[in-house]
Amino acid sequence: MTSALVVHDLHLAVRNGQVLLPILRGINLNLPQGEIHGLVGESGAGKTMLGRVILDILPPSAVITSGNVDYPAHRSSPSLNRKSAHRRRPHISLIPQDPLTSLNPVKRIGKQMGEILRLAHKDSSQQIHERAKQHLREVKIRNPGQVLQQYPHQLSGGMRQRVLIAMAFSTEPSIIIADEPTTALDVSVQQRVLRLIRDLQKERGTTILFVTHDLGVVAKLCDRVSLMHSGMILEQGKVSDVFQSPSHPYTRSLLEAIPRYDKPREKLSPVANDLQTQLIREADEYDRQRRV
Amino acid sequence: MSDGRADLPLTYRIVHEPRALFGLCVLGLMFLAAVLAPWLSPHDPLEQDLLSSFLPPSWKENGDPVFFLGTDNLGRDIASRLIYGARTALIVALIAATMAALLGTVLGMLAGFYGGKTDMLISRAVDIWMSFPAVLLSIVLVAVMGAGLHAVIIAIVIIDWTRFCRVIRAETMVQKERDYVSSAVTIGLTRVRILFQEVFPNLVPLLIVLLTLEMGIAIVVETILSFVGLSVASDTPTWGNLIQEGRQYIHQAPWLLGLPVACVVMAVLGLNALGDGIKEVIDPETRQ
Amino acid sequence: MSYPYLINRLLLALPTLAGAVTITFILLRVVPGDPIAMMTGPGATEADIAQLRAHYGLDQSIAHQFVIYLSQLITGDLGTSISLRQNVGELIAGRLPVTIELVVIAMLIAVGFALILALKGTFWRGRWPERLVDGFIGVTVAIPDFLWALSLILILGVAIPIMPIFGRMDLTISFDSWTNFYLTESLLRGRFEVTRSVLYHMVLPAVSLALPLMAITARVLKSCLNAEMNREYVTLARTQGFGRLKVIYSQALRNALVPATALSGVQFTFLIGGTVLVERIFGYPGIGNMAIDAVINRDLPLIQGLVLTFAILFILVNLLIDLFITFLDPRLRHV
Ligand SMILES: Nc1ncnc2c1ncn2[C@@H]1O[C@H](COP(=O)(O)OP(=O)(O)OP(=O)(O)O)[C@@H](O)[C@H]1O
Ligand SMILES: [Mg+2]
Repeated sequence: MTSALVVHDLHLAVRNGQVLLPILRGINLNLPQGEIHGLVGESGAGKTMLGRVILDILPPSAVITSGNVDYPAHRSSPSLNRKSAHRRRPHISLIPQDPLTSLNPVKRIGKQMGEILRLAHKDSSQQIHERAKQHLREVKIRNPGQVLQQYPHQLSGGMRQRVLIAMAFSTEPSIIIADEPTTALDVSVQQRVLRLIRDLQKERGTTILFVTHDLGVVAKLCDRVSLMHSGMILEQGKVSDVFQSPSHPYTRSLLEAIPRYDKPREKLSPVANDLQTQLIREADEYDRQRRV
Repeated sequence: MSDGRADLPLTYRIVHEPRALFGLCVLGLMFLAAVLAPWLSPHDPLEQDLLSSFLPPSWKENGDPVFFLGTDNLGRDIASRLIYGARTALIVALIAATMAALLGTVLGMLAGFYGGKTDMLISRAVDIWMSFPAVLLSIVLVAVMGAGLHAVIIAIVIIDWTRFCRVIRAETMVQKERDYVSSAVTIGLTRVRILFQEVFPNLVPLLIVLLTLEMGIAIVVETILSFVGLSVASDTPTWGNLIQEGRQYIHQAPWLLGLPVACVVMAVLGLNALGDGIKEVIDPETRQ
Repeated sequence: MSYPYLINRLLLALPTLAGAVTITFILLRVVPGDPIAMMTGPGATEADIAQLRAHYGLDQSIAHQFVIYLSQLITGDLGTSISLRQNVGELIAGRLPVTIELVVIAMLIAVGFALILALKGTFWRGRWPERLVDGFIGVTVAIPDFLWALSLILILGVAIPIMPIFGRMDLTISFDSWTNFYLTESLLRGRFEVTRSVLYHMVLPAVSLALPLMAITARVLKSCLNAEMNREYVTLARTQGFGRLKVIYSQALRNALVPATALSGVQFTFLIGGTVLVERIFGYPGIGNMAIDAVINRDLPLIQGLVLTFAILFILVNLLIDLFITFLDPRLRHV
């Protein structure tokens, strides 16, 4: 199957005064079309940064020092954008982490969706309104007409996240970056939102890069998984393989840390400190070798 | 950004901030002019020489090198008058700004620290004060008190204490929540002592910035009052008086207006730059 | 935005207004210096002064004077001007339109250019033109309207004499106005040569008033926009296919306007206060110019009336700003 997204040996650094701090250290990814790829790693690993490279919304201080991002399934006219590492990219959507801050607080939902739809379609306002309603219905919102009239602060967290999912799918993207889309929601809502994303993805064959902390979610949702630490991918593979026979000690310790009802344990062991130190030392070592 | 330089002494960092350096230079020049006025001025600023009235600056056609910046309608030397004007400007700026700072800071600290009724009373007063047009109020005050430097200074203090009060109040409220205050409470220091010994030192950087900016404002107010004819006696050389006189001969001798305006603009720009520069340097510290 | 809210706001403004009235009254009478003595000059006899003092009620106790003043004020009577011998209310009503037109135009100029500067500065974020914008703002903000007025006169009135520097319009044009709102009225009556002349004369005073406000508003708005640009909804909008400029003005701007308006609101009142000097410098016949005359003539009732007028204008501007903020931010509307 053709790949939807290939990241090749990507290095990214952030400029801080005169120095460049490495954030991503040689990331390789290959997402076949129509797959959900889990991206797991602790806070600060660089997951969001990787997503921003793919979305081409890097902060001004970030510099791509080497590597590139490619979209083989979408390679119509390969014109290299000077400032980013992108070939001409297809439309990629983002489902963000925080549903409250990700909607514009001073605009009605209808207006926000309308603006996006208007970029793609030359329709009358009436038609745009109907489209927006339709998209809301697809994310199982029962009263779309009313929601379109409301401001973000008048909706519940779960509703807002549905709206954001509807927005993400409304542009018919071939790739979606979902950056911890359920972290801010409570558990019962999480399940429903996850099911929603999976159903829409199946229906449309969208490729999704799914960022999460939750290995349980990965097990249920994803086809493949990458484990990240300090801007490096430590382990990558089919979810079943990785879960059954993890090769990296970090993966093993993460899997052990999942609380399980069938195997009660005395104490929860978070990733051991010496392992953390070890990983950070490896990252430093990597930087030193790259420089020579 | 400045974390690499944070351990260097404050004065060093201020001198290496371009805006602050510019401001210091301007302020230094004014100081020199004010202190050394009798020696620096080529002429007596009051000496009239009707034979050489309306001389343009010396680099212009018909200029006389003896009167470097030209002369006014009575043949008085502009350069000397400007130098003496710096003296008045600086005196007013220093005294008025310090006094306004004193009043505003004490009230602001009390309002911010004690809160409740004290705060309500002081804040309300500030609100009312802010609902006056400051310029008009200062003119009214000086008109009633009678013209003169002391009246100008009192007017500036009466009007501008609110600038200090508002900012210091807000900052005191922030400082009050800091750990060092609660630890001072636990070791049993009195409230007044905490306020003046523990909190006040933390307000000093902010106060210096405000003071610098206020000096610029005071210079402008003095100019304005002279301009309206309410500052010192009109033959005393102040920048405002020079502006007022120059305005009458604006087509005949535009340098009579242009030169004092340039002086005031430089002084104001310099003091502002100094304030901004210092703020830039100390900001990371106040934020921590 | 409901009527109860409006009425509430107006009621809240009353104590401030009362405070302003009281303080002016007391200041004018308590601060050392005798207005009557100054009014009469050195030649007057004791008896003359005493008589004048009685005539203006200044021989009564301050409390008594204040009660009389307040009882007149409540009936809308601002007293009689000492120097002009006319009703203070009528005098002010005649001049107020001049100042209002000047102030409105100045505010429009300030806000318009502030928007352009802030948007452009944000658009050029992190590149050298942004520093240029910042530098321009930094210099402009430091110089008060009074100095702008004099500098503009020197530059555009004398060095390159292309602008009128005195008066409200060409004296050769005759225009007997019914309302004294020259600009509005001449437009409505189709007297466009009047409009042109009034606008032409307004440029320098309005720009002098506008520049400091423009700079401070641009600075505040730009920093609010910068904060807004780092918000997640803006990041998201950038992935949705909006252009760079469009993200700024159609997503971030309205949000940034809320704190920016709140922060720079006070500055709008400073602009009104600025009319006192700027009108004086340009010989513009508004209430600001009148105020200086009133002070020079020690015209206590007129000063009192003018300070009250300014205080009301300040409060109205603050009210409008609050209403504008509630209009912008739906979250504030239903509380
Ligand atoms: N705008 C920025 N400027 C400079 N450094 C940044 C910026 N954004 C992120 N970083 C740095 O990049 C690194 C990776 O951050 P990133 O947000 O990608 O982590 P993450 O894996 O998404 O973490 P989390 O699980 O908490 O979301 C961090 O060390 C962070 O400090
Ligand atoms: Mg993240």
